[in-house]
Amino acid sequence: MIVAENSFLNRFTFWSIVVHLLLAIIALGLKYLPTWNSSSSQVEVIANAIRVDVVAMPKFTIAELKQMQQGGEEESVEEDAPAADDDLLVEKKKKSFMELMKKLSKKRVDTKIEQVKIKRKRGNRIGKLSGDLHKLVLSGNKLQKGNSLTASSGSIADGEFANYLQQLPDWIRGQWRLPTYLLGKNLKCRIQVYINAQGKLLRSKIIESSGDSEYDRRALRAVEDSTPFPPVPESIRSRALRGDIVLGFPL
Amino acid sequence: MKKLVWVVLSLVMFNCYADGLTVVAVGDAQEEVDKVIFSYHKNVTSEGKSIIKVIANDFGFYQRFFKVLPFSLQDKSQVDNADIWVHFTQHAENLKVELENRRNSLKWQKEFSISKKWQRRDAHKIADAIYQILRKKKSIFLSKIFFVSDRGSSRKRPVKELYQIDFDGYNAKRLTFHHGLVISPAVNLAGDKVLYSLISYTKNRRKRNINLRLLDLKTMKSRLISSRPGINSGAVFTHDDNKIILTLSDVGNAEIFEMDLRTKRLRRITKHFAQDVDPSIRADGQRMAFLSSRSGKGAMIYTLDPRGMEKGVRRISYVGKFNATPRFSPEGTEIAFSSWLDNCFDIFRIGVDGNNLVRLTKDFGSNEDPTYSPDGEFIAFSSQRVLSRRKISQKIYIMDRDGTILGAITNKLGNCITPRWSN
Repeated sequence: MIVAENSFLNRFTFWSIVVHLLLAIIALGLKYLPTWNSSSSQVEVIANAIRVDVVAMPKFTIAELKQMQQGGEEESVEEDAPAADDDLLVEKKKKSFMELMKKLSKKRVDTKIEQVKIKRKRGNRIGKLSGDLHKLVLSGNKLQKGNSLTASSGSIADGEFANYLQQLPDWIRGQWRLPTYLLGKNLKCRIQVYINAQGKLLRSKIIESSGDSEYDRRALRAVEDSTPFPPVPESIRSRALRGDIVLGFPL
Repeated sequence: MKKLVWVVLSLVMFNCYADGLTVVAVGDAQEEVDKVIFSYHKNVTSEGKSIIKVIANDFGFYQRFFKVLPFSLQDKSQVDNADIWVHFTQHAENLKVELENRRNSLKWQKEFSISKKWQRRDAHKIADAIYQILRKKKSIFLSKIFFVSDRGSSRKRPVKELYQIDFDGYNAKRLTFHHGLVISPAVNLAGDKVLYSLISYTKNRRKRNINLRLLDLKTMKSRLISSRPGINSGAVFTHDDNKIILTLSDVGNAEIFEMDLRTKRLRRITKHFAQDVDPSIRADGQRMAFLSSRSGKGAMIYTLDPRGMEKGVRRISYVGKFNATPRFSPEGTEIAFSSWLDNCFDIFRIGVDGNNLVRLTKDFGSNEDPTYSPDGEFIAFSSQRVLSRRKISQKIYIMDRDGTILGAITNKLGNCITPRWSN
């Protein structure tokens, strides 16, 4: 009797596991199959969002912002002309009244030139700011495209991974160009990238083609032209190395 | 079997805990500029060459998409450098156009008849046909700009009349002869009717009123639409030609109404103790931008659903000392407007959701009255420069939607204001 009960329990447990497994597989399939045909079971998407920072009318025009962005990358150091050797130019001649007046007026002009120089230097400082502050100054009051993250497990490594990924769109967008005839076709391709600790692209492969070979080729070229990527933080190196990052063109 | 189940189960569990792929959206690509060359066979006559020159000039406006390479019969080396090659040959009065887009191997050809009495419009039509093949949408080449000019005006007798001009600054034509002051023109979608206000005086010139009139460009006849006491101005056409939206002030303060042109019946759209003026209608007719002082902080831009009264009001601008002339883009996704900053007006643009506020003009005189081109790629505006204490110069300029100034389209036409771009 006990043997019969055990056999019934075993059979019940076995079929219960089978049914649950099937349900789990169906649930996973329903969740990912319609949108994703990759072998991966877990996909996190980082898409564009808007960050609003309006405080006043923007001072800079779009053209100025673009120019400053280009100028900001090439930091030019202004060197003042070497100072005249005062010791060598000792004037012994007695100064006339006219010369004194000339000197006075020259002083005023010199002061003005100096003031202009200081102003220019202050202006140039915008180009010498670094990192986020530089970007913030360049942006003025323009509303910025930010990144919205889907829910994550919340570990420090995940946070670092998300932070790293947030840098990539801006890093690549400069190289991402399409000819007129390919724009507005609503094409989409996704590229998986393998990046080493130094940010070097080890491998890239198209895991979702747009169907247009030229579009795919240009997306791949944008990735290749963007290398090296920013160095990868230590805690997420394994993920970057094993190709957890997929770049969506445009999404 | 049991073992197999446990193996599958453990694999599923492992997969659940493993880190998955993360997709990063790179965003939309920037548009690459195509190098285009307009070459011609040696049999092309001087008329044909003039037409080709106009076509090349037209394409020069679209700097964001095309870079026009120079061509001469002596030096054909540039032909190989071009991404898009447009070649013209002539057979009697037929100009044959052969197009090759080397980027996507697209080929196209068509013959156009030309005569010795050709007009710029004929050249614009060919240019538009080529543009439509390349970009699959209409160009601005056949569009016109309406504006008000004080040409022929004197200090004793100020005059402002309505004019029209081609998008490239040719074929300026005077449309009204009121010998009065015309303000705020607006054109319908078909481009054959113009609404405008005329400042009219009583016989003894003691009182004046701003009356609304409609000019039919087919018959060139103007008729009075509204002459209520006060303001009858700032009128715009809806997508239905028989209905207009205008500002009236006979109700106490300036409010916006819809008027049926057939019955002259009014329907109120705004009702607020503050002034509501300067309506602009989105192409689908479901949203209207206007200026209002209802925030108590100067003139701010608002939008609402014009199909009701005070329906779905939304404030768009929160900054700016004085904002003016909000104008919807053709797609209805953004609004261009002028705003007082640094002691002059400049042009800005903002998304309809209040995002992406950007400045377009700076250090270029005082810039007002933006108006989008029918394809949304350009903005025409009036720019004023003070020449002396008593003299100012005001011209109509065109810039692309990112603020790159292409140049003035009015010259020696007096002071030109309030441009309105039509199809």
